[in-house]
Amino acid sequence: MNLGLVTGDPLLLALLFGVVGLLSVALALVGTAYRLRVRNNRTQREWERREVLWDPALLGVLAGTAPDQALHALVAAADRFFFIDYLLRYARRLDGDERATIERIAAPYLAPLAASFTKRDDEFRARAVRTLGLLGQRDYRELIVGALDDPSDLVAMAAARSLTQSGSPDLATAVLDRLPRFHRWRPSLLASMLARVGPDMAPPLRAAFQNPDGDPAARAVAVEALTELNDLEAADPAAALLAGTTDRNLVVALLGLLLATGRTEHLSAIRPLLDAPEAPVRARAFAAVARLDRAFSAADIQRVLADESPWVPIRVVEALEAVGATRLVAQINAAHRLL
Amino acid sequence: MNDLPDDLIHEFKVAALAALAELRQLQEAALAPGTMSRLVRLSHQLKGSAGSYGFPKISTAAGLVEKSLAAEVPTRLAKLVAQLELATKGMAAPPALSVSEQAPVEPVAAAPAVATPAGPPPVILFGEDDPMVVALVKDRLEREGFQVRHLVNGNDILAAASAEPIRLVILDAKLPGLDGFDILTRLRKLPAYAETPIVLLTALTGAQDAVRAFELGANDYIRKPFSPAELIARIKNLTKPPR
Repeated sequence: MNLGLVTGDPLLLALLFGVVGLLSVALALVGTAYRLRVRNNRTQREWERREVLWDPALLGVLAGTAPDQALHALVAAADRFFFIDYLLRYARRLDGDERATIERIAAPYLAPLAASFTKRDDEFRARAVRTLGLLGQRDYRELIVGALDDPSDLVAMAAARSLTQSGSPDLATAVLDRLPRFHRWRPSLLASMLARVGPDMAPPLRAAFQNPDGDPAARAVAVEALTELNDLEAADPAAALLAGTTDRNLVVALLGLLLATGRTEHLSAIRPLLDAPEAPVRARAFAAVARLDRAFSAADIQRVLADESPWVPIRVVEALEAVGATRLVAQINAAHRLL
Repeated sequence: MNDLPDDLIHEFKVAALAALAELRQLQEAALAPGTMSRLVRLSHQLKGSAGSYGFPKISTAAGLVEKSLAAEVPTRLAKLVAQLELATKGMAAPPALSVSEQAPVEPVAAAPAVATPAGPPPVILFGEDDPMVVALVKDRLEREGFQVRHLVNGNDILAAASAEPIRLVILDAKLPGLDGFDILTRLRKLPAYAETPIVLLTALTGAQDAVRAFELGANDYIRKPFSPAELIARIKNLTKPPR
């Protein structure tokens, strides 16, 4: 194909320069990638060499046959952050006395990490919080609780996870008090974090959801956490709260709690919500009534199936299947086929 | 040399020569990742079994091959494999055992309840793919006088289970190849493993996983993170002779 280009044509020269330039850039990128790969491999090998040196001493300390100093003597000052990372990996795999031993070995190396906390970037701070939470929760709890108010969401979330993983309701309550700080996170994730603390977390959660001045989204998270804990004591205050609550998410959460832990005496608080304008509220209300009301009738089934939202019958069937009400599910399915 | 029965020595020689032949063949091929991992496994197995069967030179040479592979120095590999061949030079292919010398029909006899003072240490078969957990458990078991056969791949674990008497099996639930539950199921079908204690050491925390393990015949189910001291206590309990 003749493009009309001749030797010395400025357009041809520009094209040639362009191609040579692109090739040079590509070669430079390949060279850089290769150099980085070689450097990473060398670093990796260097780390492995150190771990091979530390492993026998660490295993001796864990077995109680060597003193901590036998391991500390092998750690150069320049390797201290890498050593903490090494201990962290073991700590994640260990429980009981051996976990406590790892924390004891790590203790002398955590102070420099805590000291450099405020000087570094978000990622470093988040990693430091996770490390201190796993290896030095007792000595650095104030720093970790303080990190809940860090300007970075990443750091604050690392602190929240660390405090809720501690299993201590006192520490987890610090997270509960700051729930509005985490409004961008999924409520179910926050609820699961709080519920993981265990039944001892129930009293502060009950107080939080009954606080009329509290943030409605935070109160809904507290209710979801209580639902995960199957907290029977929360059912009465939840039913009492239903009538005066306008926030949709909080109402849905309260109905979810009653679906899990409610009793027949709570039906009078739930039934008015069968006519709620919002489909999620109606779906949860119908599900709760279907589960709690032994007199759930054919008329009720027709009403469920006639709802404009398909989620209403789906949630009802889910709730009934969860409690093994197979006869009622069969009735709903049969009625659905007749529609 | 060693005090092991002739049939076991014979079995080792056959396996070692087969492994060596495969090593030689593989190291001549391009070192693709799959080939590398097979080579590492072979040399690791050879190192362990040669040590156990009383061939320290072969064990050392196989260890050097494994180390070279781990350090990704393929140029030294050919030299090291040659050294390994030299170490096995005196070990000519053994003649087939006569009928009277052969092991009983059952390929694996059940291991003794405890090792006698004069006998070899009881062997624990350990399937785990996390190197840190391996280091923690292997170290503790060896301190307690057990011999540990560690393997990563489910199929290799089954093969090792048929190769020698095993006193107890520890399995991670998630393993490459067959998973811990599959291995447990298959082991329980072998007559030699009808009574052998099998422990699952796993990161699966759900109650349904524990129930499944016990239904399939596990003797214990330990969740990670774990305490090696507790694991050892449970293993000692499972391996102690009946009252």
